[in-house]
Formats: sequence, structure tokens, C-alpha cells
Amino acid sequence: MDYPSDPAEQFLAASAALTAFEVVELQGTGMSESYWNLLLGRVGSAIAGEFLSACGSAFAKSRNAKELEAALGKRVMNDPKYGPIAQRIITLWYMGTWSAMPSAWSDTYGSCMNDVSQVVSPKAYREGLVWPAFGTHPQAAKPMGYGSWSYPPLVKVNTDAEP
Amino acid sequence: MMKELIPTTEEYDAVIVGAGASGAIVALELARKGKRVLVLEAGRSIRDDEDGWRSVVDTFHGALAKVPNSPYPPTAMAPQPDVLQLAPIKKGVPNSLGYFVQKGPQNFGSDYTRSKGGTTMHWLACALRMLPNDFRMRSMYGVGVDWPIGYDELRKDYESAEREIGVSGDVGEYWLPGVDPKTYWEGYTYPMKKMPDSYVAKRLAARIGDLKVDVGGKDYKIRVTPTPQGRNGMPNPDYVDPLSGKKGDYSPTGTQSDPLRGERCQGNSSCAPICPVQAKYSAHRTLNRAQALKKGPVSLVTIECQSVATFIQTSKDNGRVQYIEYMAYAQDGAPARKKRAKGRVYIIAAHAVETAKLMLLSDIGNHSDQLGRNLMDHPTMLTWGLMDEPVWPFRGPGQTNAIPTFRDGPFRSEMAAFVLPIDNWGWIWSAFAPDVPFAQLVGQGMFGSALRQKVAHDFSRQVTLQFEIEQVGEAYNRVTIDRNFLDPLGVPRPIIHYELSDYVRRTMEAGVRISERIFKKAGITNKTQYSVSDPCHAEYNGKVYSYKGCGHYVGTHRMGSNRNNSVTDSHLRCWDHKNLYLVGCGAMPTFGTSNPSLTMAALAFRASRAIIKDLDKHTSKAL
Repeated sequence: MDYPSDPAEQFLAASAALTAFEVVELQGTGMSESYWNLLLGRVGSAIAGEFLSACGSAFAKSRNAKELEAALGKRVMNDPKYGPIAQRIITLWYMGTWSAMPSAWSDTYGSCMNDVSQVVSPKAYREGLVWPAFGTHPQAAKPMGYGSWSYPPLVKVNTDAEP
Repeated sequence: MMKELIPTTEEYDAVIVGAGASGAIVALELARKGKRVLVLEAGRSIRDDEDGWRSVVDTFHGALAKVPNSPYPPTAMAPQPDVLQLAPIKKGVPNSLGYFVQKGPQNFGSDYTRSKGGTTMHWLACALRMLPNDFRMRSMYGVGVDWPIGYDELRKDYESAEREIGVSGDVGEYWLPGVDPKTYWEGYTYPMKKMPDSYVAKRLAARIGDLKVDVGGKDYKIRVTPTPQGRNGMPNPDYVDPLSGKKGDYSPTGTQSDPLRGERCQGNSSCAPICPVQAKYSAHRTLNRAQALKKGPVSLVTIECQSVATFIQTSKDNGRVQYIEYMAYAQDGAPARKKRAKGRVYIIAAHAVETAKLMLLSDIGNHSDQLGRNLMDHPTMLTWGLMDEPVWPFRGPGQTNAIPTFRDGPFRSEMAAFVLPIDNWGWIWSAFAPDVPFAQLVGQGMFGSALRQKVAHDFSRQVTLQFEIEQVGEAYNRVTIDRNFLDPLGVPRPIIHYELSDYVRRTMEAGVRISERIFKKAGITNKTQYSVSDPCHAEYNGKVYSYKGCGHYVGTHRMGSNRNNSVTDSHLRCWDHKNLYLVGCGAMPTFGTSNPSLTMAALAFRASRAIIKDLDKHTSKAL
């Protein structure tokens, strides 16, 4: 599958595959630039680059989305160096939150001073994708209107398949 | 030696300690009669204008742990308890990590807010009246104490409270056990129509059907009814305003900076801890109304924030309060300035714990030895699971419906009553959803489409029931002070002694059984887990039950029929000090299964009448 050459775009493509949201949906949050910069600050540009290359190799080996997920599972999620980074990128997009790298990871690959658990920003919280993923809105933002809670959400969410 | 010169305020008609709901209502009622009032507030002044409110909403959005006090800036000089300060209590080693010194054996699991507006800043706004039997627990069930007044004597004050708070509810749909609607309501309607039922409550009610559960040898039908709440909805055309006597002209109070916003709840699903459009009542509304009342160009009500009352000076001759000493601070850490406030009458409305603390510090009002004792909460045992169909939680007010079935019944002579709200926000309280369940899925290595599907499937099916269990006053559950534990101003911190009685634990045991029956009938797979590592847990018959604090602090300066069994009379006037009133949830001798704020507000109206009478009777200084 195609993989962009610009690192920030690679970050978006990898994020889309890891979260199962479309690139355009991620861009719609307005958070992509700040998340990419945040990753550089949290793990350093060298490791961030390696991480994107590892994702790139999964893209290169795959012909469709299903194969891509399998390849990402093998080359990224199960990798002791890249797996924890991928988990944190997923959490960024879903929750707007950065979790500090596990200490075992930092023991091996080093740490950055600003690697602390935090909500990235009030806006990051509001743009968390976990809420639309199950048919709702972030608490205290983007309200759905008086009485909307009395009925199923208007935007359909597929909840049938037990994964 | 030079005598310390302490600045003293001019003499007001009334000095009120605490700018929460109770203090605000008393200030408003007194100002309506032209009285001049000074309100001292220990905490900061949270601004409820456009920019100020946006900033607290942003603080909430940016908070990692979105606990009740997370939007509201704390102050070191008037610290407040926070649920994040809870930790297991080892025998003989109190937990003094936070503001409280928790001596146990159990943790008091609740927090409160010390700032202008008090804990109405983060309350959920459930506005339940007490049941008639809740006022006569001793004579009906042989437990707790009777109130010196009954429901009938408080009914009109409930109506005043519901007007001031702005309550949405439906008398017709609101079934209550052991209650005759005719005498309970007397033809009343709420100011606004009920909040629409949540989808999860509607599905749960449909699936529960006609389930009956046996408790104490008697079958009880599980009913789901709407919860009255202090949240703006559709004005009720049948409502008669008790102030104007007019029908059908009730208008909700909207956002402070923009009255056209917030007139209706818009479903921000975050009532506790913050409503972004102020459609939920907070005491700011009442304070704003009070401050708008003027004599000439001058407001009748002055509010001084960052002013911590530290001592109540009384006369050795007649016991009357002479002044209140307080510390005014500009910044955390900077030296505070000692001041004195003078009034003809004094009202302590500082919160059940803070009022008891201030009285104990001043060593007054405790002839009965009840001061600080009988501290109660609604220990809340949660049960949670996944329903076999999506119920779409995390939408709408936190609670729109509850099961009131077990709020009263003959079983109360053996075990505590409980109200059973249906949580509209999934596992937020039971399992810190969505954050923690999401972190668990990611931690298991889930990603991509499997993760997204799992989130959609599981999170849309989350259900939590809240067993909010009644406590009755126990002398050993109490607030004390110890000068070895001081806050940054040098004021002793509250020491909390707390233990759940078997009266409560029997209900925990029964509650789990009732929950199992409901879950089975409604198609809910139980996911409840209790552990001895939970900071709040209790054991009974060899089993562990975890509970949460409900924020319902009650009982520390209870009213009663005489000065030997209580701290105040039924008008909340201190038996020992005739120009001193203790107003707030601490006044309530029992509180059944009703969230106490509405009753507290009703009592504030009752006390206000007595205060005004006192002030009018003695037009001279010698009150």
C-alpha cells in the first residue's frame, strides 16, 4: 500500500491504520500537527523516524487494509521498541491524552524530560475520537441537544460485531 | 506591649459565613427584606461571566483526572478535600495525605468545594424531597432520631427551594413508596416539566418489566421513575409561582453572561462537575439575585471572598456572638490579614464539616455534645455490567431516572433504605470510563478495526446502578479537631472518624442480590468487582463490598427538640447562642435517601424567616 514520503504525512497514514479512522477524519480534528510535534518531543526525532520507517515497511508489504493490520501487528504492535509508541499514538487520537512511556522502555531506549502523562490540551480532549466511536460526544463539549439522550444517536454506529 | 490593632467591619444586620447555597439563600431572603448582609467566603471567587466560565470549562477539559473538583481552582489557604486524596487507612495510621485527616476505620469517600458557590459548583443537581417517614425514623423504625418537625411543616419551604433552584420534574409520574400523592404534593406542579428519560433508563425499564424482588419477606416491584432535578427544562404552564402568585409565567435563569443561553439543558453530559452553559443551578444564581438588591445605589449584600472565618467570639455574660474573626488572604503563601466582622445576627453556613470545625475551634455551642457527631453520607455501592443491546450511555444529564422502590418499607427497622439511580454515563463512576477501560484495551494490544469495534460494542452497552444507601446518625462518626494537624493558615484541619454500621452493610449484602436479579432480567452481564484494595470498602459476612462517597455530608450540627439532644432548634438557631444560626446539611438529624441539597435549601428558607423575625423584633442593637 502507498506510504507518503513526508514524515508528518507518514504519521497521519500510520495513525489512520492504527486507529481505524480515515486520514480525513484525523485531519478534521485539527490535532495532527500538534500530535506529530508532541511525538517528536516525547521520544525524540530519531526514534520517531525509526517508528515511521517500521510502519512504512508494513505498508510496503500489504496490498489491502486487512493485510496492513496484520503487518502492523507483527512489525509494530508486537515490537518491544515500537509497540509502546503505537499504543500512545492510538491513545492520543482517541483520548487526547499522552501517557508517559513505560519505565522498562525508557531503561532501554532512553527518555525525554517532558515525557509526562497529561491531557495534551483542552482542545485535544474535545477532539478525542473515543466519543464518536460509540455514538456520543465529549463530556462538557459538542452537546447533542435537549432531549437527544432519550433516543439512540442519529449518527449510526455499528455495534453489532463482537470482535 | 502594643495592643494588636484588628480592623473591624461596620456593623451589618447579618454576617454569613459561606457563599454556598445555604448562605446565598439566607442572604437573598434577608436582602429582600432590606437587611444589610456581609458574606464571608473562604475560597476563591470563581467567575461566572463569559471569560471566567470558559476558563473553568477549559480547566476541566484539560484535567487528566476529571474528578468533581477538577474544574475549580483550589487554594492552599482554604484547602478542600479531593477524592484523589483517598488512600487505604492502616490501623492506627490515619491518612493525612490530603486536607482531611482520615482516622477511619473506613474512609469518608466524598469531597466538597470551597469557593464562591460552594459545592453547588459540582453537584449533580438531583433535587429529591425527603419522604414523610424519613422525618420520624425513631418512632417508625426504632433507628436514628425523629426530627423536631415533620414533612408537612417543610412542604412550603420545599416549594420555595424548588423555585429558587429551578427544578424540573413530573409529580404525576413520580411514584414514591409509602406516600399518598394527595397529601404529599397537595396539587403542586414543578416549575419545569421533567427532563426527558434517558434511553438507557427507558430500555432498562422495558427489560425489567414487572420484576418483583423479595426483601425481608415482602415482594417489592421494581419501578423506574424520573428524578426531579435542578436543571433547566421546559417551563410548566400549570406552575404557580409562589412569589408572584401568577400561573404560567415561570422563566428559567440562563447563562449569567447571556440569559438567552442555558435556559434549557442542551445535553453536555457533564452536570457534575460543570455545566458549560450554566443550565444547572449553582449558588451563583442566588448570589447574583441577592447582590442585585440595592438600597439606593448600594447593594444590600457584600461578598468577601478569600476570607477564612477562624473564630466566633461570644459574650461571657449572655452567650451572644460579638464578632467573627477571619483571615483575609491575597495570595497563597503570602501573610493573611486578621479582621473582624460585626453583625446583629450571625449565620454559619460553611458546609457540614466546616461549620462543625469552626464551632469546635471556637469552643462554643456544644452543651449537647452533639457538635461534629452524627456525620453521614450516602455510601454508594455500584454494580455494573454490559447489556446485551446498545443503550448509548454518556449522553444527557448524569441521572434522569432512578428506582425509588426501596426508599421506604418495613425493612428499615433492620437495614438501611436506598435509592437506586440509573447512571446515564456508563461506567464513568464504577470503572473510570472511558479512560480506564480504553487504556485496558490498548494495553492488551488491541488496535485498528478490532479496537474500534470493541469500543463501539462494549462502551455502548455499559450500565451502572448506584445503590445510594441511607445512613443514620452514629455518635462515633464525627468531625474533631487536633492542633497537631494544621492547614497553611494555621487553622486545624478536620479529623474524620467514620465507620459503616451493620445497618448499612446489611443493605450492601441485599443490594448485590437485588442487582443480580435486575441484571438477569434485563440481560446485563455482571462486571462488578470489589476489592480490599479499594480505599472505600466494607466487609460483611465474609464478603467485601466497595462503595463511593456521594458528597452528601449531613448531621454534624443537628437540630432537635431540646438543648440536650441537639445543637440547634428547628429554626436552626443555636440553643446556646441566641444570635447564632447554623444553616446547612449539618442541621439534618436524618436524611433518608434524598440527595440533601434540596432539603438544605428548604431549611435555609425556614431559618431565614426566623432570622428576619429576630431582626425585626429587636430593632435596637441589643439583639
